Amino acid sequence: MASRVNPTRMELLRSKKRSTLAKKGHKLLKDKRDGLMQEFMKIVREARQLRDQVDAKLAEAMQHFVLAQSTMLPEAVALVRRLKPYGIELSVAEKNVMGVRIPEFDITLTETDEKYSNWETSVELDAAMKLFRDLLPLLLKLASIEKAAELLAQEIERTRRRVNALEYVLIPQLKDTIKYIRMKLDEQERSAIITSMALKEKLD
Amino acid sequence: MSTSQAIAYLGPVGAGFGFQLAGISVYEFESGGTMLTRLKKLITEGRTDILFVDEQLASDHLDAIARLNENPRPAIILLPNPTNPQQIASTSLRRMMVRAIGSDIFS
Repeated sequence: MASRVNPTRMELLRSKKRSTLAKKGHKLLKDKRDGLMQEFMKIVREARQLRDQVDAKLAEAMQHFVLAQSTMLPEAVALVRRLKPYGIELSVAEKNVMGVRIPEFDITLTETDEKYSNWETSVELDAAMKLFRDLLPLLLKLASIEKAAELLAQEIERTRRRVNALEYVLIPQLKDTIKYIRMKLDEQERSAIITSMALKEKLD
Repeated sequence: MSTSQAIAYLGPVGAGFGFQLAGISVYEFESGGTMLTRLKKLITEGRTDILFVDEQLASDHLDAIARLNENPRPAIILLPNPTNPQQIASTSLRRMMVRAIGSDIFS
């Protein structure tokens, strides 16, 4: 790479400027990577706790639903399956974490007119529904947090690649170029001095 | 901020009862292949912001699902299978951590 560069003072100045800029960018990207990692660690800890909580509650709610279905008449189950007693409205906002846009979800649960009759359904179904209603906000929080972790992980990976490219490729390359141009310029200078000395000797 | 009715559950036959009663759109499947096709269709349509996917159906297509989950939206969240929980979702969280910081700090 260095041998393809024109060994001129202009090129030396340009390479020096690029090197300074690359070093500044490297420092900034390293700081960004560290900041993202800090945020990621916080989120991932929260995600793990929430995941355990959701998995346990979901299993419990599902058990109640299975129990409810087994204690109800098949016709009643089929009838209830066609109903939609609740409507969901999802709100999506966006949070910016070090340039990464992270979605934040929130829901509003509204009751509809499609109610199921308490005579045809079991008590288990009510218990299961209550558990599920309590579980919904946690599911939404889990969706927000796991998505945030995913997006931050992607950004960390991208930033790390950029940091490594600057640290192990561009900065050493520019350093080599600067060294090469300096050597060539010094050589030219020495050669010019020797030529002028030889000329002076001939004239004398 | 935008609002929509855009949550869906993609799971095995009979598992979506609770989700459906809570007002979530439910899609039930016999196999993971048909589930993946539907998942891709829902993403292309762009009306769904959160997709809950059963981990057992997703188990053979984890890489494809991870690729689909790279965009900010929709959020694809794996949920444990009601009859046979396999902790695949927790494993994918660990994989994400290794990818980001180079090691699994919880192991």
